[in-house]
Amino acid sequence: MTALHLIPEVAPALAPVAGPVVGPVVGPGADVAAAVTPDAGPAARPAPPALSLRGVRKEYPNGFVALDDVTFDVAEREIIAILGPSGCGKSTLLRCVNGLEPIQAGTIALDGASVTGPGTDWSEVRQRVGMVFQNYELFPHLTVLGNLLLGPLKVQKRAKAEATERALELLARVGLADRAGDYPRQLSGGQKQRVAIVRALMMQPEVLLLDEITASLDPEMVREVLDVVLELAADGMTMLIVTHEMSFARAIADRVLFLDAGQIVEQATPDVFFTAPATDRAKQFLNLFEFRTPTKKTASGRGVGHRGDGARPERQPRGPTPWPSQPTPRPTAHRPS
Amino acid sequence: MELAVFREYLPAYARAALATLGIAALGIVLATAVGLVTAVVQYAQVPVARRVAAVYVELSRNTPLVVQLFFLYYGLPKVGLVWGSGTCAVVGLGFLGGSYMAEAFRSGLDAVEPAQTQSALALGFGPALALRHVVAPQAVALATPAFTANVIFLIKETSVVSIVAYPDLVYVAKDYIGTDYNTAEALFLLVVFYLLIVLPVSLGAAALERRVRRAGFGA
Repeated sequence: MTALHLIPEVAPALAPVAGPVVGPVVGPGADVAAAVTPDAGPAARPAPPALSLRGVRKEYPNGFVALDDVTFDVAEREIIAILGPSGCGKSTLLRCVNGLEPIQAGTIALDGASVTGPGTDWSEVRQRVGMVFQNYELFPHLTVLGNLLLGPLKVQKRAKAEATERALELLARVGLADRAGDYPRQLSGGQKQRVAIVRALMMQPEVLLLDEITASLDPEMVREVLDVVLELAADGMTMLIVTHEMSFARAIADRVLFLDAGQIVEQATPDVFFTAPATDRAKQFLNLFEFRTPTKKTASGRGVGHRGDGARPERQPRGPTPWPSQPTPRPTAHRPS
Repeated sequence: MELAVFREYLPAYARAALATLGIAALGIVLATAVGLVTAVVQYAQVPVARRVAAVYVELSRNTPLVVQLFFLYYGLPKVGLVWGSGTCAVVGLGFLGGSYMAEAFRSGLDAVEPAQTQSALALGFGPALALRHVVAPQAVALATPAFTANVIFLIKETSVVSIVAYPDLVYVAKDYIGTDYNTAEALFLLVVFYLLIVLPVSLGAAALERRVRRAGFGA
């Protein structure tokens, strides 16, 4: 294995490799992952999707339905961008996939094996499904290296030398080789988020969930984080990405899921979704990210032009303002005292 | 006030100061242990134990130490449990301090962002591992000021253990006042000795808090 890859090299399941490969062969320490892979017989059957959701329903005790009949598959090495207005259930969807939120109906399967039964070992599932949060959630009492080693040492019981070597290697890859001894508070938001990504990678996950990982960042730091994600993509990491960075989603995703009110409203390749969305909801949503030069008010009082040029300006229902409706994130993530 | 009196009283006060320190230390250790268990039981919402813990906290915080000591010293023998005054003093301090410590630790645990637990869970930590390696270390730091305040509070609370005949500083002072009528000297020494005990602890606590704050977290 080349030492410089961000993710452990996964035996390309779809590539025409010679010889039977049983289950994904992952780097050192990934025997956990390999052991639980169901008997994925040698190349005879098509590989099960890396992740598969069937009729997933999430309902809160107060009756609010956050996810309704969500069904989709994610192939190995596939990258899915999940888009949709605030409160549509994007983040909830990610949190259901790794069991941070219990679901009320449906099934979720990893590599063909259901993880929604009552006997699910969530600890094991979550090691296979990494997650990166909007607000980094680094452990403030530990150094960068401490953050990276805690899971491998305490959860996976890996050897310290091996884990440390891996951590430093990954830190170097994201350009933070010299920050291993720093505390999270000494880092910028972009640096913190890169550490958080590395921390998730340290567990050698098969799938990575990215939950609006640039939403708390200053604009000039968004790039450095997204570049890391692009590298992950190049290395073949399977990812579910919730984001409001439309151009990023368009560039990186193999497929776009558009969610509204807890349902998948539209699924398409990015090129199709961003140029010719099929549903009105998706059109409306994409319009929020379009800016046009405001025209001077005319006598009729109508100012801002509308996207559907030529046609009579549609009467838009009173709705969200034409800029991302995310509240300004707090500049700092945690300040407990 | 006469210097000769001070010289005569000093040895007894020194012994009493050590005795006071002894039960204070043991009482604080016991209170810390009780407080930790109580706080964790409440934080982790252990089914029955959390109710027991809640009742204990209310009982302990809403009754005076004097009454608790009376109960231990005069009440327990009625059910066949006879403890010496030292044991009663330590258990009494542990019983009272336990609830204060529990509240200190609980406030620390509550002050750690729930997202920290989520982040640990997402890495594959079980709830117990997450508590131990992620939440507890942060909670301890957050609870340090309340903890040190409780330590000082408990040292001062030892001043009532003389009512169960424990020979602490107050006991000695009352003894000398009763026998020699040297009220001024006896009380003056009492003040001096309490300051000798509590002031260093206070300064140490302040240093500890500064250190924790410097090592402190936050972005």
